[in-house]
Amino acid sequence: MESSLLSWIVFLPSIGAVAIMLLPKALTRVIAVGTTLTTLVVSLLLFRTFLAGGDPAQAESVFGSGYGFLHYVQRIPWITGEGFTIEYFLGVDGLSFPLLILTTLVMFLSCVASWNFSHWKVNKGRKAYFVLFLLLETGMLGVFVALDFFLFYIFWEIMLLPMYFLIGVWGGVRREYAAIKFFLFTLAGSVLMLVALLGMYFYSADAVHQAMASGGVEGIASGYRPDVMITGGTFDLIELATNQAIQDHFGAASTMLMGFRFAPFAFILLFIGFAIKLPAVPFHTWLPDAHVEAPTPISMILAGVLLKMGGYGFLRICYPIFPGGGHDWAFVIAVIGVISILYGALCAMAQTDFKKLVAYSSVSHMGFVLLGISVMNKTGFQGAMFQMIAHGISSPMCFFLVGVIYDRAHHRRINDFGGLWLSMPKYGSWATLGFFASLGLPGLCGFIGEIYVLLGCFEGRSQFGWAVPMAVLAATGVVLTAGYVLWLIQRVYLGKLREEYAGFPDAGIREVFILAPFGVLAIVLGILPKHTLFNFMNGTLDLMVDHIVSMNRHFDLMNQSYAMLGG
Amino acid sequence: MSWYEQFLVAGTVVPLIGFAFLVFFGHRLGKPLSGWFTVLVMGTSCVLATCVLFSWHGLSPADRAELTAAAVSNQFYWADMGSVPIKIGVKLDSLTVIMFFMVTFIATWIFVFSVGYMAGHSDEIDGQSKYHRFFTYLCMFAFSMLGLVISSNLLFLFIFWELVGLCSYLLIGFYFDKKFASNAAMKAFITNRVGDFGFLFGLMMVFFFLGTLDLDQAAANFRQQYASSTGLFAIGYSIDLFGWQVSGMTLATLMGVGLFCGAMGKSAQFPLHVWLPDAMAGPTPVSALIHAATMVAAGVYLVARIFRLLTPDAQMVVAVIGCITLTMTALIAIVQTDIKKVLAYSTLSQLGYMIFGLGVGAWTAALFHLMTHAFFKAMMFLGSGQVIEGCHHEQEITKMGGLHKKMPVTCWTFFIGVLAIAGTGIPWTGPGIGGFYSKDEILAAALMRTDHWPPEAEHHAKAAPSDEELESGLSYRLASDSPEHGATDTSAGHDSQPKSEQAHGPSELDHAAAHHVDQAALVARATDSEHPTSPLPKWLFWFPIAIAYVTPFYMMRLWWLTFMGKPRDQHVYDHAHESKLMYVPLVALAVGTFFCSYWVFRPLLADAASAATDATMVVAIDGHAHDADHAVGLMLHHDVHRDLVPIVGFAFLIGFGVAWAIYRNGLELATRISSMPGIAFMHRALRERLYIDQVYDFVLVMGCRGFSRLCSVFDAWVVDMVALLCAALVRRIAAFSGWVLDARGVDGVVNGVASLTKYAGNAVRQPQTGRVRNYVLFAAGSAAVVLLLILAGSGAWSAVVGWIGL
Amino acid sequence: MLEIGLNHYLVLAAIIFCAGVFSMVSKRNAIGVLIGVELVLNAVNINFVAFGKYSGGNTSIDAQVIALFVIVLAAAEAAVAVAICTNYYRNLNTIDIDRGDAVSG
Repeated sequence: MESSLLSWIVFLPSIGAVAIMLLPKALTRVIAVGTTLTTLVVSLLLFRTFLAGGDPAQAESVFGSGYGFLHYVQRIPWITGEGFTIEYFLGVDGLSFPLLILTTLVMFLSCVASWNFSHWKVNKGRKAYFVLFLLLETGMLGVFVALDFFLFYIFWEIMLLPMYFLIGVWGGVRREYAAIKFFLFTLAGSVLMLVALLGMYFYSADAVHQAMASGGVEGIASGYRPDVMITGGTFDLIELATNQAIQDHFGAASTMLMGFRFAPFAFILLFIGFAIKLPAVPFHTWLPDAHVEAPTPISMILAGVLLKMGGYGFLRICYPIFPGGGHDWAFVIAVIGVISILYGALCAMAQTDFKKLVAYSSVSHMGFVLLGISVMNKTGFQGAMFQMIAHGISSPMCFFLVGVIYDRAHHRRINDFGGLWLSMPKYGSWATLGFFASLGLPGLCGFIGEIYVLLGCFEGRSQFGWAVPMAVLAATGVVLTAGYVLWLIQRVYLGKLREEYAGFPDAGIREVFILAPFGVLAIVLGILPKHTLFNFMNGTLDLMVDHIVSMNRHFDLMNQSYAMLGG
Repeated sequence: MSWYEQFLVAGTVVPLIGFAFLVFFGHRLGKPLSGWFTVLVMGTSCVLATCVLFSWHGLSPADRAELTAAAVSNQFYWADMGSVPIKIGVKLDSLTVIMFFMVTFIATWIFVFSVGYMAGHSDEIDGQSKYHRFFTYLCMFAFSMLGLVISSNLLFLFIFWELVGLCSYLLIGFYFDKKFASNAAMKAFITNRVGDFGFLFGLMMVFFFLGTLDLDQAAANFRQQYASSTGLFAIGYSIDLFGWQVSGMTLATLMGVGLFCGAMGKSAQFPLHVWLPDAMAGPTPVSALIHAATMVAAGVYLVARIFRLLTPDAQMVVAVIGCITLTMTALIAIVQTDIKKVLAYSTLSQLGYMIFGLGVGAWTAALFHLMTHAFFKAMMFLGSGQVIEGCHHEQEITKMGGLHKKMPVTCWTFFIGVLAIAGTGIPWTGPGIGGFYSKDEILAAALMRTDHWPPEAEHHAKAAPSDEELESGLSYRLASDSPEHGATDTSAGHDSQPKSEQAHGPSELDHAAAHHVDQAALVARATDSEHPTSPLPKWLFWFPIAIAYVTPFYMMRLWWLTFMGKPRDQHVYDHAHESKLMYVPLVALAVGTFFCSYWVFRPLLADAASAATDATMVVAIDGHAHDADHAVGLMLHHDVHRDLVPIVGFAFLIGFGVAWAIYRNGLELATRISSMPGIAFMHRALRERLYIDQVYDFVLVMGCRGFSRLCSVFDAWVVDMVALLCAALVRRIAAFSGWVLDARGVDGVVNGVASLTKYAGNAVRQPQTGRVRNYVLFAAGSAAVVLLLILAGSGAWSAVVGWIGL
Repeated sequence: MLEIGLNHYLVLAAIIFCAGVFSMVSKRNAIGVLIGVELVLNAVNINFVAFGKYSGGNTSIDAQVIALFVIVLAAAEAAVAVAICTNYYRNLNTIDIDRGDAVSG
């Protein structure tokens, strides 16, 4: 099963970055687009593995029979020290696969969107821009495939710096402010993550040593790898989730970190770290600023990929490793999700800056992800994941639509637009498609995610008494969303043709080339969600939910017997 | 797949292909070719639908049931929700077949009309021709509407439901250079979304309590759960809705009402009716097709489809909402002066009748009314389009008059529509047209539910076998009366037992074995019956009756003011003309209004009713009409219907008469009446649409926008401020630690060492003058000193002294 | 008559040495300093030769060899030094060595 394919995918952009540095400036754009395209094509090779996922008979060969079945694993001891090993551990499963493809796709399209770099307001340092751009891709891809927490953390930080410069150097008027804000928010999150990382490592070491001592053995069996013995702490994200000894130790009432029970505390540390990235209210304020100031392709990446890392973090780290934490905090998370949905939508409605509106709509849409995850059932997880992908398609499209008009009008004041559909008919049609996808119109991708989340939330009623009211409140979000999107369309695209915009050229070939894949995907995903997405990820998500549920049941039993013994 | 399904699917997909073709090549086809292309597409669909309809009509009920059951097995595995598979397929039954035919037939003629309507300058937006775009939307609409009709799955019904909403949005806002048009489009979409919110809620409940989104399966599960007190009806089970514990019957009612909310949005029922009058901002063919004949009827269609999931309470809600809508909007229609607005309000009122009909259990009648209404209302809208186009976009009837000379075909086809909507017919014997059958049947059902309810026991005793009696007496499904039962059983050639099984719907055939268990459970439940069906309140009957008098009045007013009397605006009159392309569809629809509906639709609907209404607690009065002949006979010789004659049989004459009396000589008399004290106040309130729009605008729209502004300010000044404050605080701490702690404390020590080194260095560097002579001096001097020291150490000093002293 | 012994040589050498050092220290003229250096070197030579004559065996010519080395080196050193002087002059337009204090600490 060892394969270096993932390494190639992750580091191809870096190779491209080096090539840009070495080769003449005239070739920069070509290399960048070529690199992202190659990465996209190579990442599409992964499809052949997951194609059988929809067939129940073969699903097990794709997703395995338990959480932790991986493909294209590459595992090399990387940093070894006294008693610990950090591994270079890459792998892909149904959870990371769609996000990986989404990343390479969005990166390719936003690289094409950077093609008119020389016409930007800040158009110096073309080489530097594309080098950072490609480094960013390496970082993001690395986050999605790294399965060693330490490696994950490193990629997480690697991605941060290029983004900082991309916003801070090539951004709008207040770019430094926005870049710093972005950087600090994310960094604050990663610090919390670091604390949890260390805690998890040392407690896993404790757990393993205790188990070894009590059993009088030289090592304990790995949770998911046959024939592998564990003798110490680990950073392996799958091992942490699946190893019963480690899970027991993490979940035990007597395991404390800084005076708090470990599992809920570590969960909340990680949660805040990822919620900042998602972003969830009240950690969202970096987002509108970053979006408004970032150049168009960077906004596309920010909305299309970066926000998904938060959701991915929940699904990969928070929930499988701390299922008990997820159960304890479910209400809080759901409330944050619902608030994000409604509050984001309301804020979006009040915006007069085009890009800010789309940015707030991201907050609203990502609230659905949070809500779907919070109830911890299959429908909810599927919905959250679908919503992430759907948003990863619709929101870069919306940002690009804003960018197209900004390139021509050089402003983004919604109220000063009007009648653009008349002067730019092709563009107007694409815009309608994009914004309706964002609105969640059935038949387009946004709808599937939303309805799955709502249904999942409703399904959670047997576990959580608050689930139904939450679902109802979240459903009111669809009305608000329709409100702000339609009002936006009315103000920008409808109405009489204005003189100052009459001469605008319609969307060009390059612009249509970028919009078309997004638009087509929005439709295809909306019509055939199972065949385009669910088949590739449901297996892993279902196994993950099963794992979480069985772990929680196990903890319940453990606590009961604990109480019985104590009482 | 049987060829029925194939034809239906093909008929649905053809418009989609047309849509895709027009999207890419529409602008090349241009005007009028893309219009004719659309007609061709729709015509193809219509031919397919016609084949299906006539073939279906010839089948025996048993064959139909078999086909329906077969269709269930041909489903496409679309997705999983959690671990529940969602399958989609074609719902093949009489209702689908009729609806499909109705939509394609009317759409085809309206498309023909559109080609004529758009031939002038009506396709221009701010001076640019958007001809092909209009037809592209129409194709899309046709696809979505047909998809809605054939969906066997609530989720897909919902998806197509939204797609027709989208088309409606795009078409209402077709003239989007005009603010009111884009506003109306937005209003329509958002109002519908409010309804959809309820729909979604209902959908969720259906999914989780009934475990499926398939219409038939859901109904079967519903019945089964009721019978066995599980799931939704599990004893002691409740869900918490904001502190309100809901369980059992209330929960089921809530589910039904939630689903009905969707219908309220789409069929524009009070309080979500506000969008429909505004929707008239779209091109008139659109008003005819979408906002009169088909899309707005989708709400009624939905209620018909989910009828088996409605509890008596939910039905009551449906009835009340329908009653309010039909009353209120009919009153508003009296005072409108815009020709399309009058028609819009009359549409609302008729939709109210349909919804009301479903609410009182007149399933067949309500859908029948849907069909007849679709024909005559589409025709009248097209007529109004003809008038508007002919009068150069003049819509005020106060400026028209006498147009019958200029537009004779329009005038008389319109008149047929007026007769149809008024329910004209010869009392007691018939024949009549349109509403005479359908509306009166609804009213008959209402009368029965308010007056003769519950039906006397002897009806059952006479004809129904004891098992049947048990079921209808104990469950809340109440068959209309015994003659119907008797006729049904004999004519359909069934004895009672198979009939009652078949009545559970084809999808439930496999449940047949469990049937008797269900029956036993029903008996058990019925002994402590918590929900006895009592007669509905009397006003639910009297309001619709009163409006049956108002309807002919306002329709006659409209027709008379437009086509009769003297021209009130010579300019408009002079320009008026009629176009052939536009009146051919009018004639076609008029013919349809006259003949088609009664003899084909009513029996087929009665057939569909048996499958669609038979569930545990549904109160469907006409739901048992199995065979067509009997159903027709029922309506003509039904004693309840005969009872109605003195009440409403002459309503059309009275309504027409009053309208004629007032408007015979133009508007003077009407103006005088409307300015009478007491009436003036009412007149104004009605003209202002009872201020509902204003209230919504003020409370909801302004409220929402205000609140959003508030949120935004909160975001900028509070949430962001907190972040900024944190940042400032950190900077302050940094400054403190940097300048105070670090510079004076930690840094002090470090700097101390550093400066010490520096002083030392400075001291040492003093001799380093860079002058060679100094260095030599130092070197020599040092050497001398060293020498002296050595000498001193070795005791040679004294020797030297001694030697010098020599 | 006082017999000339080792001490006399040594004293002479010491005097010449001191004169050389004095010259190096006191002269600001580079040539003067050079002359002082020559004096110092030659004082040392005298020492070498004197020690060679009085303390080594008669057969040893080590001292003379070293002296010859020193003379050769002194010549070389003088050549280098004069070259430095020339360059120094070229750069600073003077051969006042006090002006060349650029390497001060």
